[in-house]
Amino acid sequence: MRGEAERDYVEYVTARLPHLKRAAYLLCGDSARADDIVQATVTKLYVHWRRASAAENLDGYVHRMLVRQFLDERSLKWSRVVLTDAPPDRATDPAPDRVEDADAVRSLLRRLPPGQRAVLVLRFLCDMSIDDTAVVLRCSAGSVKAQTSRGLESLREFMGTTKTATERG
Amino acid sequence: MSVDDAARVKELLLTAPVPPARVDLDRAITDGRRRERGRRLIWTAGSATLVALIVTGGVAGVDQLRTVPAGKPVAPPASVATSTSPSAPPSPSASATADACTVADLPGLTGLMPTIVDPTGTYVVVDQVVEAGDAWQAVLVTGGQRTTLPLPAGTTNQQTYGINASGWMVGMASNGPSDRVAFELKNGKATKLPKLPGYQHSKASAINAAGDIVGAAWNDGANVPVLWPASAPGTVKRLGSGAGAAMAIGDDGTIAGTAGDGEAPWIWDTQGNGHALATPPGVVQGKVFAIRGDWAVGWAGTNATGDVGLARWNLRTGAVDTFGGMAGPSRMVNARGDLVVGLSGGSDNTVIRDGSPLVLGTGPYNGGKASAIWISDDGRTVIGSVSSFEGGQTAIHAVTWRC
Repeated sequence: MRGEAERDYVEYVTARLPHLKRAAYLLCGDSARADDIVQATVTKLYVHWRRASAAENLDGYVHRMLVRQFLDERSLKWSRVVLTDAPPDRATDPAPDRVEDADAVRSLLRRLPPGQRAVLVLRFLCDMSIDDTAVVLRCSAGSVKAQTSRGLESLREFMGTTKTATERG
Repeated sequence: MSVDDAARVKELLLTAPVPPARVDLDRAITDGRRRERGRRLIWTAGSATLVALIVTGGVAGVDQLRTVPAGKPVAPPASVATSTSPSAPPSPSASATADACTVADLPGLTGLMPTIVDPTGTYVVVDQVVEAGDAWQAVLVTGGQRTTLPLPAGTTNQQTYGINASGWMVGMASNGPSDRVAFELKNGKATKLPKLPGYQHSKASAINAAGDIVGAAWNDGANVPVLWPASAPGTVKRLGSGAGAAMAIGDDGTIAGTAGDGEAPWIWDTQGNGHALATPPGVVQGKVFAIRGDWAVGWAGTNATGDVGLARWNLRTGAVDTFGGMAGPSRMVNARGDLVVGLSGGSDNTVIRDGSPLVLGTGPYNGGKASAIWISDDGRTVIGSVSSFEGGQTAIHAVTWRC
């Protein structure tokens, strides 16, 4: 890939990097690992740019690549452990403040099984439909619905406390 | 699920602070081009072996203990007293001294990232809970042996926050989001600590050599700081009358933490008498995360703007040191005042020894990222991990640096 196509690629990736990092980070909870996932994703995207850039929904296409990358890593032995660089003092503090919100959200997300975590990130951060989410996670639409519902249950408590903190602050 | 729920989850995911991306676009393009060539070669040769050569290309996984020369401590800029004007943060790329660290794998921790270490370096806890059936449990490694930590009765989840030199641990266990309880883990047995009357939740953050435990209790709103004194097992008492959280306790009984939630760095005695610690000019907020001997560390800055600078307090003199405005916070300090700076704003962990940053090499894990969590009282041993990209995958290596 050269010339104009490569310029398009660079422009797209540069603009979307923060979002891709956010999605990867919320999926895996570890900044370095999220960078690796994004790095691998954008490398693959380079190779497949012609097909990707012709897709109706380029963001959707890239999100699917990113999630596949994340899920592929889970086949590793160590990924049975939920990795995080969350410091050990803020796990599920009742009133996360702005500075430490990242830890609180990450800490909460990491307690969700990877499937639930992926469903929440795909549906609510990447705006994927239930059907698209099912395709990328290779499961049924019913399973996506169930995992969404269970994941939300856990998040609800947290969101309540976040609201409290915001109101206080 | 209500529409409101969906909107709130979305907002939460979109606004949670995320470290900046560290992605090398040039490398992606170089690697992408190589793969394009590889795909063409494969197409031509029809050989699967080329795939392995071209796509994998990384370093083989390594588990065995090894020792190779690694990072070097670097020269000042040294610590800067709070009264001085802000100067440039210490740079890890500053000129090197003659000393060198060696890096070795930490036995028993293959693939795990250590999170807390006792003051002697004997016990290493991996707080990244391991899924065991329906439960989530932490892992302790000592002498190369890995043990899954028991949960207090009736709980399904635990987080370990503190450990003393005897290997006694404290943390918070939960059974669903509506029941969180402080626990201690002593001699292989996990026990819930008594709750402060009138408070539904509690967590224990730290334990000192004598077994005094500190933490916080709360309902829906603000934390209050609490102490579980070793001298009166089975009892708990509130520290002072204000909101706050106790995060650390020294072996002399000095307790440190925060008033409110970051309103001011705070210190108490075991009777609950407390006062704010000094803050740098123009700043009042802060939090102490760790204490050891005469030293306490945490952050000082402005919580609302996320301007959270590294802070180290000398408890003997009361002076605060901001290390030239370096980003914080720190969550670990040794008896000499050496400290580990956390992963703030996406930056890597940094160890500050004798007032200067110590650059930690990645040894055999070429191109990996070093992340320290602990430094020994003599400043010679650092524990942490290296994450490296091997064969297209990220691998975590728990390591010890000797410097």
